[in-house]
Amino acid sequence: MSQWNDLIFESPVWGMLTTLCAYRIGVAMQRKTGIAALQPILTAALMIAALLVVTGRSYEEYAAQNQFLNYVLSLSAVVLAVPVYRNLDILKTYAVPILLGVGAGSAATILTVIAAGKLMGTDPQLLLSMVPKSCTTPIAYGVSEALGGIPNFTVALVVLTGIAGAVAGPALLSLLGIRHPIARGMAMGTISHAIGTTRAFGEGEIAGSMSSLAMALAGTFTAFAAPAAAALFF
Amino acid sequence: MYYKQLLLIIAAYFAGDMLSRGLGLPVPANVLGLLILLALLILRWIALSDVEDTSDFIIKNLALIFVPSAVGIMQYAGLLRSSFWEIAIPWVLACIVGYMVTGWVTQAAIQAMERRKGDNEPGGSEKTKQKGVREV
Repeated sequence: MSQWNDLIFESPVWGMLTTLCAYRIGVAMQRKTGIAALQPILTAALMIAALLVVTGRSYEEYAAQNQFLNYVLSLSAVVLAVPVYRNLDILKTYAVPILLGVGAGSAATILTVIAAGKLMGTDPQLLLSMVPKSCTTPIAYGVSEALGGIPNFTVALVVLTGIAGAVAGPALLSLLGIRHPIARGMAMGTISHAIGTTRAFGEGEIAGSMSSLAMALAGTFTAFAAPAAAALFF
Repeated sequence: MYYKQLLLIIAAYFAGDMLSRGLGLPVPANVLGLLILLALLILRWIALSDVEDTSDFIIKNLALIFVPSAVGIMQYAGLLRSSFWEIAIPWVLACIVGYMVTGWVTQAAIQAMERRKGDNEPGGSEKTKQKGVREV
């Protein structure tokens, strides 16, 4: 048995293979059941975490084998220029609502984190790590670093924010009476970045492309606004 | 060819990194890279087809790219347990407020805009319908 263990876990690709298999299973589970809450990223991450615990492998070891994905992740912010460029017409037509929405929403979420955290007595370094929680991961990582937060903890929160938005976002928006596809897409992308965008595309092309536009705009806005907010309140 | 697309994307990132670190800006390299790539597209120095396929491939698979980071949450299980409410309450509130403000402000501004357009020219709202903007 331990011979098999050594054989498998000495392979340089078991981590990547695990990621791809778990994601494939997650996608299949969502397709079969049609349950929106079963986001593949969530089911895949739970399966992998369980596997690591059961086999006694460390997260670091698994992460080291997935360096390739992290590399692509840092590039993924750059390629967001493409959905922005493609939606330049809608952006021009609806420039005021879109920019107002992203600006107000990003500012509101940053200020709420800071205000609620101060009231709760959250540790300042933890709180600073929470400020960019709605940015897309590569941007959030950089912002957290610049603010003096814990970048890896920020990434964990960013992913949680994305998953929560993908699972509960559409229902929350309906509850709030937000029905316009542009407004729904903007909210999903501004607060729940890439993972919310995946879900927004499920609502339709407009909500989806608006969401990817919003995630690029909100990330950029936050990259400039978060250091200013931190300087003001910390 | 994909290598040419990757070349342009990585070059935009590199230029962003040079700006970010060279000028000591507090903005991450990839955000500046995004703005640089967008400027190149708008100025038509590069065509959309020069970066489109690789970009779409990355964007379509964003959720997969995030999986290792999502597994990384397990490293913070202890921290999340020990400071649960101090983290959870600001987080939940900020998410809800963020959805509320973004959605309401965008929707109210669109409605105000379309009302004004409808007053000025009767065909205004018809035009948006043709673009495929519908209420859900």
